Amino acid sequence: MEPILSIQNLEKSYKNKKVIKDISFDVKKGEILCILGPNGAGKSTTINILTGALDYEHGLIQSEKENVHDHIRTFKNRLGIVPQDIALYEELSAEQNINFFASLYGLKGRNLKKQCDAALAFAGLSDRRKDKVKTYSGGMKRRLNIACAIAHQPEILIMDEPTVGIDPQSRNHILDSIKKLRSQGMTIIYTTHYMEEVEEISTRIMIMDDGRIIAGGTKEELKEHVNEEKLYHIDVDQTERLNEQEFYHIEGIKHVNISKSYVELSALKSVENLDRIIAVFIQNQTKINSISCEATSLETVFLRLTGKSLRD
Amino acid sequence: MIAILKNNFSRMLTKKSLIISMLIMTVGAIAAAIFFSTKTETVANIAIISSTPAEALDIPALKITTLKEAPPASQMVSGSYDAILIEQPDGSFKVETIKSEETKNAIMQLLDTGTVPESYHAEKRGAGMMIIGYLLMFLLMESVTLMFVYAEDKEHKQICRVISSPISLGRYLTAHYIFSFTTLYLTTMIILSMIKLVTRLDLGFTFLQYAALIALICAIATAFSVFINSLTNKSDNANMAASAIIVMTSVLAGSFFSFGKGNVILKKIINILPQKAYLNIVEQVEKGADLSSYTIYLLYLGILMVFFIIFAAIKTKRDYIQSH
Amino acid sequence: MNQFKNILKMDLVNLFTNPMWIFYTTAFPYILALIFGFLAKDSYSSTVTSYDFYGITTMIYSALNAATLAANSFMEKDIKGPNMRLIYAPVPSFIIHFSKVIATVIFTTVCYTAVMLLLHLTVNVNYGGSNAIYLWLLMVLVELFSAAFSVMLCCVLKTEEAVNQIISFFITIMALLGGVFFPMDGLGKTVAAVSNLSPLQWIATTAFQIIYDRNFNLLLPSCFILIVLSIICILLSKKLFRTEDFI
Repeated sequence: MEPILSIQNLEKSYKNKKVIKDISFDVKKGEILCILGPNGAGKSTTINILTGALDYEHGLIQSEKENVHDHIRTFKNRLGIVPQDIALYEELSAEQNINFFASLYGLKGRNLKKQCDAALAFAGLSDRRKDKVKTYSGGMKRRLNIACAIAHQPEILIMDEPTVGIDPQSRNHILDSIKKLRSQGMTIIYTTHYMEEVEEISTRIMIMDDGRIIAGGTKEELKEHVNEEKLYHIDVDQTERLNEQEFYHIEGIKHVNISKSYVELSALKSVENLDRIIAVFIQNQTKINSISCEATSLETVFLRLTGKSLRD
Repeated sequence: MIAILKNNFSRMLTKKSLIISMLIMTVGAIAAAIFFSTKTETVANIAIISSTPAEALDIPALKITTLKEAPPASQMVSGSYDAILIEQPDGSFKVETIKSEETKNAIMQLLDTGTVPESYHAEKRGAGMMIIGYLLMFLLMESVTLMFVYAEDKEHKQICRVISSPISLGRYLTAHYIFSFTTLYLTTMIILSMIKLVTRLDLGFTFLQYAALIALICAIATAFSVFINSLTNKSDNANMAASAIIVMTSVLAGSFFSFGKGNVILKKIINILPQKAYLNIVEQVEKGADLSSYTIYLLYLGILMVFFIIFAAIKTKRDYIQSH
Repeated sequence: MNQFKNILKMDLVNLFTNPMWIFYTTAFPYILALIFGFLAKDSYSSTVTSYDFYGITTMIYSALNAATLAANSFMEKDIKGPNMRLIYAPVPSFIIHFSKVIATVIFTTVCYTAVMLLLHLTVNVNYGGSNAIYLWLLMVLVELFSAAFSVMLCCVLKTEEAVNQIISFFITIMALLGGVFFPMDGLGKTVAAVSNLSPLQWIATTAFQIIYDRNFNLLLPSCFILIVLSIICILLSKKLFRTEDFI
């Protein structure tokens, strides 16, 4: 199937420093593409280039085989943007905000009212539609921020960290809404820091760091990268007598992390070595409180691929 | 408290436009005051309409222009001319003016006798009074601008962090007060000193007198700026409201120009204004009067200052401490 | 066109629902004119009153203050975010800043017209009778220039705070030089020459000539200059406004 958006060899510099370095990716129709990466990875810059808000030096952005930036106004009509900052007129009501932003996409009259009602219902704000935005909680403002972006029923919805700083209940509401939008056929490009969100909603993931795409694929495809490994987490009383080298001598152990009260070991799945691991603890008279074995998580994948945690 | 002061100065250094506008305003105000203080009093600008060259009238208080035709009425309205003297066939002059009867009579007396009625003389201000008068409005406006440190803390909610810390609200507000006062006072005194050193002009007051008078107005200005910023959470609203109040009251109080001779109601309104009390003090100091002659004004200003500061403290506490 | 209308409507709503700005464009100029007029009452006769003088000069001063409002309606902290959201919408970026100029002009025209009417009704300020329309036109053009200039500065400096600091300072100086607080013409040749640097002085002279001399010699050149300068500012805004700087 033809991708809904195709980005090829995109490059962008700020003051002679390259911030987007020759990235290429496709966005398939109806998928939720999550872009993961630490701060400064280039996620927001990439998104702003797609929306036409930023220029770029080199590359091609196509949708339906047409260069997007040759017909940017037409392309923008198909887009909905949820900016990272809450961009709402606080002295006006939810209804007024949605009506205004939707009208910029050509909606008017009865159609505008119908879409506004639908967007408010979607955000769960119908009963607060006449209230001024400044009276809303943070979570409600975030939901309204999304409602303003979907009222005109865009084909592609771009969401730039839409759940920053809100309570878990509101976040769950938003994530459920995103899944609903996808089921209605919307294509969603979603940037985030939160691994849990990616685990929950993504159909495909793109990992960015330092202006490059370092990995892409479904959750399962990415986990396959490190799928030959499993992670042991062993809680202990103390770790003073333990030595990393003793664990590395055990066949199949790839990575050792000794903290004050626990030890984490990455081990090859193909090698059964739990008995030798336990033996090390016994030899060093270290009491084991609990042992767990985890499947590889996306967090681990990210860490392995970038050498950083998501919140660096 | 030192930490807050240091932080305030660091923040100020990032606001280059504020620093530049402060410097320009202060220098401009002083320069304008010095310039105007050297002008001789002009009672009136007269146009004489005569077909024959008139005898030269050498009256310093009159600025006389001889014209062949009467100037348009708009020039009278805009103040280019206060009166037109139109030569009559019998050699006398008919006076046409849009100004009051008093002005008309003063001009006639000036032409006849070379002097004006005593009541007509504008108060002649010394250089010191002029400088302080011109500086007054600008110092008040600059102090409101300098209180951005407090206004921004409220707007961006940093005040919540500060109040959660061990520092007391009193010390917090005091730090902002000291910052604004010091910046305003030192800037003004340095500029005044430099102008004195470079131009060697008589600036009316001694250095110590300026030090005391400028300190007084900076203290009141800072107290007012804390007060006005405590009333609203938005710095824009505080600035707009303060600018409007300062412009109106400074002009009313006679910062640039004396108004309203003999108007009783007006005088009562003006006397309430702190700027008027302050200018009265300056006037007494210029005359070399005793402290006792202006103690009452000092007391009034002191009470007002205390009121502004206490109000600001109570309002801030009510807004931020009870709700957290 | 529809999009421009919608954005303009929103800008007008933002302006008309802000009580501080309503105060600044109605109560403040009215009170200022009354105060100055009252203070200087004794210096004028009954044919041309002090209100006739200050009723004009304070209105011109207020028209210049449209610059502050334009900057606020474009980049005031609370509305900068949603205003810049328009960058993502399918609207030409020119509309984003141009609508602020037009909205400010409409807002200030409505408010100042009301103030002028009130001044005429309460203290009988002379606006030139049937020629008042020309004076009104002149005021509108002053507002247009002020707003366009301010929006252009916003595109350069990118914050309303910096723009307002600079503009307030210059407007106060122009007001002083332009004779808003007291006539400058009679203070000597040097002062008169310096005061001619103030656009407020030229506008006031034009206005007084229209009202008292029924002389329109300065009207056309003044209007022409104001229109040309406004167009230059609007075009410069188009060139200088970069969406990159606001996202």
